[in-house]
Amino acid sequence: MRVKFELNGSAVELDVEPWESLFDVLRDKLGIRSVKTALCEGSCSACGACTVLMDGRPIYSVMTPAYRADGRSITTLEGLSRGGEPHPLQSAFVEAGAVQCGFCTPGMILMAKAFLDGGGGPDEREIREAIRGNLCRCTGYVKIIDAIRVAAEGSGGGVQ
Amino acid sequence: MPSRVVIPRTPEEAIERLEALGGDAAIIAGGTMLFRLRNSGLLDHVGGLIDLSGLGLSYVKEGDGISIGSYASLSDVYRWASSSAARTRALGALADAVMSMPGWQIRNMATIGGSVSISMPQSDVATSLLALGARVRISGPSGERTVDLRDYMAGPLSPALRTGEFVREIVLGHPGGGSAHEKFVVSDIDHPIASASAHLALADDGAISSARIALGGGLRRHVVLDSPRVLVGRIPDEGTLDEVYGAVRDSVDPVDDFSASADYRRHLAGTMARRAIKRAYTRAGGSAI
Repeated sequence: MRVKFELNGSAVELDVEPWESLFDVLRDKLGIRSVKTALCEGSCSACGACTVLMDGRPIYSVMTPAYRADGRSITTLEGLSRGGEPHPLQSAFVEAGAVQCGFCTPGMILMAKAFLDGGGGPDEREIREAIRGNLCRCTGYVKIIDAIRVAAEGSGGGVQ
Repeated sequence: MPSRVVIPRTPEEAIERLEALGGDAAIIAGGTMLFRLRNSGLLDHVGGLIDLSGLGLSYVKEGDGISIGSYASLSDVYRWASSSAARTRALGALADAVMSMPGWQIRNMATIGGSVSISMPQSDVATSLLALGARVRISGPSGERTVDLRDYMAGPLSPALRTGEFVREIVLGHPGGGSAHEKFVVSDIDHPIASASAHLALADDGAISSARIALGGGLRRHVVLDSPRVLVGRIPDEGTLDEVYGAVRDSVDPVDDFSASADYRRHLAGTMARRAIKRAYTRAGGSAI
């Protein structure tokens, strides 16, 4: 079926199959490399590597039918920087040293963006709950939480 | 594998399409279960997906009772259930159940209708709704019918739906009182080994006037204890909770597998029920047990 949606601010239009996931379409047909799969064989382990924002709400793209993107706005990590400048959350992750292997980073940053856009603040408990659907197997989360806290303090709640 | 998707815009169209496809139809709501199973072989017979997203069923309404559209996401249900002090007390089990699942991504996708339609005791949301006395309003070729949730959840992935039918809404009375959900899991992403939800209403003196306990997790089927004698009319103390523990242990039929023995699950079911009653009693306005 034919779907049209906005991907990182640009209009896209393409044919998708009923059983195709949004992940398959983003990665294989649209060249979006920030979305990843990790532990999905047979079930979902809630690792968060496939996270994208649909109309600003974080979802797992591997479980989302691609046709559901029709008429929606999809944001991936590629859509965050402006004019070659990194998004404040990207800068905060770099400054805090919150990236090790980098596999979880796109999902973490998108989830953090949704958290801050929704009015989330620097409270550590809230940050931990916000990233509960994202696994990191390197950092132990401390520096990721630091980065999100720094971005929250700098943004006054909403990061554009 | 389905060759097409239909997104009906009216209930009549949905019923017509479901009837036309018959056993080849699969209803898709949030999609979290269907997309997980898509390579499992279980869905190879599915010829077409009937998608409920176009029917305007994302609402939560409060009138004579509470009606939750089947397509309402768990995150929207949670926000609604925690948006006033009275709801936080009465619907605490539902909010607890949603928040016991890891991550907003899943909560944004999974729907309340899907949570009951997978018809599995592992569903925390379904367990909480059983304790809250939920009913399921079904639309179909012969009109609407409303069934008790425990009758609707007939077996794993086999809800009591006839050809042409779909779930329109989940209906709750005005539960009042207080409720809570507790579960035991090995890790955040696992199914619960044992879970329990409790709903209690209290008389003015703090005695329990009505009670319902629902047990889920690794059981062969959900168990609902309606107005158990060990609770009704009593002001609960530790001794009461010991009796509940015993009654729950005896009422469940747990699975026995690599993650927990049947006996251990019986113990955990009793323990989760104790904890859920303790919290539900405080939420209902009782003093701490």
